[in-house]
Amino acid sequence: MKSTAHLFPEQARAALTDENLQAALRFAKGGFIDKRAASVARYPDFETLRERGRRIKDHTLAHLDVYLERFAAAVEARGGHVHWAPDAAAARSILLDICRRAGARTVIKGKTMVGEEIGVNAALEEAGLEVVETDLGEYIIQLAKEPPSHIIAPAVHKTRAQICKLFAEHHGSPDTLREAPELVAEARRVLREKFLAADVGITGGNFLVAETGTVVLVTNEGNGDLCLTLPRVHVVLAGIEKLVPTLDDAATMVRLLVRSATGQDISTYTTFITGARRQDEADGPDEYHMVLLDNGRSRMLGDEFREMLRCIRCGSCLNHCPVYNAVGGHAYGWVYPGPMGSVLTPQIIGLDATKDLPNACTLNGRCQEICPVKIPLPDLLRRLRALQFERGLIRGPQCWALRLWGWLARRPALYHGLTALIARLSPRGAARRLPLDSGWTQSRDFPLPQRTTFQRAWSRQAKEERRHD
Amino acid sequence: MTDARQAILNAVRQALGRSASVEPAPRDYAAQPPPRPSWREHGPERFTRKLERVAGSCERLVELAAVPAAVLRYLEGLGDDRRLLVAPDPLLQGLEWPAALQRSTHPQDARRYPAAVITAALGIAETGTVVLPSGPHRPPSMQLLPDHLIVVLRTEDVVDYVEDVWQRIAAGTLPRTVTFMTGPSRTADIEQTLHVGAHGPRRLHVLLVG
Amino acid sequence: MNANAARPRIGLFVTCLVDLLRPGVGFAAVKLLESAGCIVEVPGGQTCCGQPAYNSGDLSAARALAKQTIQAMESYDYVVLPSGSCAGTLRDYPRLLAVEPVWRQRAQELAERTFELTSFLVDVLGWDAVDAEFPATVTYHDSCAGLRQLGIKQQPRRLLAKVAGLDLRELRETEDCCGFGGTFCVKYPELSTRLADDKIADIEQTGARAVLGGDLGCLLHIAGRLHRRGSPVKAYHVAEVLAGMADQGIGEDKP
Repeated sequence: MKSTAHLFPEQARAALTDENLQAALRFAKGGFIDKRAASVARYPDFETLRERGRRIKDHTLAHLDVYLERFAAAVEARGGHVHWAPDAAAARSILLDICRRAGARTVIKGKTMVGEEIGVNAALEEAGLEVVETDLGEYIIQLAKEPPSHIIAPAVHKTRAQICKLFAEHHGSPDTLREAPELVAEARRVLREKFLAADVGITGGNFLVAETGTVVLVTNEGNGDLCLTLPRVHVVLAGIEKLVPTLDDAATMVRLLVRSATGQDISTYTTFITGARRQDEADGPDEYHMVLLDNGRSRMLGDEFREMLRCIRCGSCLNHCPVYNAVGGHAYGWVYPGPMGSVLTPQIIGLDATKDLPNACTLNGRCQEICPVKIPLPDLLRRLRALQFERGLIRGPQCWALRLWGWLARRPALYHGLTALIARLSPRGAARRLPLDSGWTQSRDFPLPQRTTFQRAWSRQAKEERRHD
Repeated sequence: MTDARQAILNAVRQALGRSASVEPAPRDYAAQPPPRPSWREHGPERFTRKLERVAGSCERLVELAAVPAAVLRYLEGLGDDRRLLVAPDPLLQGLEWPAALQRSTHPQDARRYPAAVITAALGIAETGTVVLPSGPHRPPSMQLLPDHLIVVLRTEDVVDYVEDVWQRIAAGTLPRTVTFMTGPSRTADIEQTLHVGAHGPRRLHVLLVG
Repeated sequence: MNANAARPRIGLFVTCLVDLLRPGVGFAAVKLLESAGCIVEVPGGQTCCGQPAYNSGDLSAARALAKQTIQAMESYDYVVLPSGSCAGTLRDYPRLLAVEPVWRQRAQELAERTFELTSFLVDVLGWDAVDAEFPATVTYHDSCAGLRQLGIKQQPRRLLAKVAGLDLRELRETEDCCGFGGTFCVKYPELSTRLADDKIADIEQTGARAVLGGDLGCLLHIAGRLHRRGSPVKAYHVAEVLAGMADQGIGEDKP
């Protein structure tokens, strides 16, 4: 997917005044937060579960080579084909090749963020294939020709009115404001035809279980299961960091994932896929392919961003982030929005293209508090800022002001003299305008100094006391 | 393709500061089970309660022989359509089905028939889930395509936790798919409000026998 | 026995914002600490804890300021700050100086004796003998760093409960970020202001005539926006109210 992350400031500003988006975001915010909170409150000792999730992930990452090999061997032993994609281009090429060999004309897809990451839809469509998203949210944004704005609810930014219009345009249904159940039923009807006609089904994988070569797929709609049952060919696309050692470990991760994502106790469909169709099975694809994607993950494994690889794509950090809740996902300009996106996107597409993402954060820490695998997101964002600073990527008057401040602050005598002078000369009250600033005073008054600094007043007071002794 | 595999594994090993694989350290955290919900009721009761919480329905039957009549009652409640897909499971095929039902065993009919009855291998009390391994007795299209899915589950097959499933379905004998199904299909993609009947069955009705 | 031996020696780190923009908070902190039986000193070798540099990725400046702060403050029994975010920064010094073992050790020892003001009074001294009055309906903003890094939540409330006449009405969302975020507030002003407006809407819902908090950064930002909007709601640092020194609100200039 092409990135517009470098346009974050403009996109964020536009988002703040987009009425439709703001209405949609208001709808979404409380729901996600409250549902997760209720579900976590009901769970006995969720904090211990989080810690276990962190340990499962850290253990797996520390031995990722072994677990990847075991997983691949197990998949192959069950008749699956394993493909290794070092980067996005390789992954696209592999998927195209699979579809071509299968003589495919129609491809149906379950929701896969990795699919967006590598831009698989555009690549397949360019090759003349019809690609249909089957997750309702993904389907809606496919019709709207937009990228997803949330990793769990891709069409969260769309109002019902907008969805009605899209359906009317593409399905020929009545162009009126209809109720949601009617829209869901319509999508079911339309997409059912696609399910039945498709040649290839591409899904993601929430977890990859090394001990058995099993892919765990978590959905609520049933579209994932249809994608992996009806077409002749099933392809799973997943990042190499999705490994967990055992089926039992997967159970812990699923418990963390669904509660964090939607506040459910379990998703409607949790499906474990192990290998190709057996000889005595009537249903199921003829071919089963597993595409493992690196695309920067092995590099993150070896540097200070390894903790980000724990991410299980629950979307909870987005839901709790004040910045995400104010501007939505599109402002971030790429596949992954919110806190996790602000760390991951620079890792995958580079710091140069993503200057704002690590900085558009107040470091309030809510994301870290609720992350099911305890990723220290604010620390990782700070590390990205340090990298930016090191590489001279941050320029501008604010940068110089900060440097000057740091320089002065290291010279206490000069600092105290200068600040006392500023305090004495400054007008009182609050300023509507400040020299050299537009950031603060464009929308806020600035409370001014109060005749003296604390240090000056304190030392004057000490002098007085010494005089009286 | 082998080059890409080597490249990725080498990159991973390099990142981990190794030139060759080493046996993973013991998974210390696995010494005891994770914190999990607990309950006082019997498993089947908990199962029923959790399933109903997510808009599934559950009917207790004393014996398997009561299944066909229960299924007929269910269909009568829907209307006049008596077409019923019955999974090719000897357990179901061996029952005495009323003549009023127009039965089929062919997976291809899953796309046309409004209702199907299948068996579950297990149920999970923790979550109100039916466990559906794929196989010659259980073609997945039957559990996914019809609007109405009726699942026959025996009380002795209700286990407590998700992890218990793997004790009963040994890792070495996993079929292509094992689907944990919990309630009817749903989506919240429109205005973040929950609606039942996305792509999978609109109704899930469990006949809990025993 | 020296009567002073039982009294803890506090190095007060006033913070750069308090020093330059609202010295009264510093004096309020002194008064509270002295009421609680402490000896308070304010070493002149302090300027800024380095948080702006730390959060902007200028680690070399941050480390320099960390070392300066450690040197200025490490001889005291405790270091106390009227700011959760600055106290949090001092607590991060061991990590910041991790590659220099000697400094890391000094930073660790300092961090263990560093506390935010209300937490120090309540958690360390077990003191809540507040003697002040503030007859008004107020509300409280929990600043993010103090809340999440240092667990400051109950402490200011316990102290405010002792202020005569004070009626505390909680915000619907006490823990929502106000949008200050250090340099964030000037790098992304529209975003920052939007978060301030959400916080102010919440404040207005409570009917409070004043909003209190433990971090001057947040309070300057909230007060600045309240002012621009012509709101009558005033902002004070919690220390000022607890010390009975809450006269002019932040940004006010009453004659």
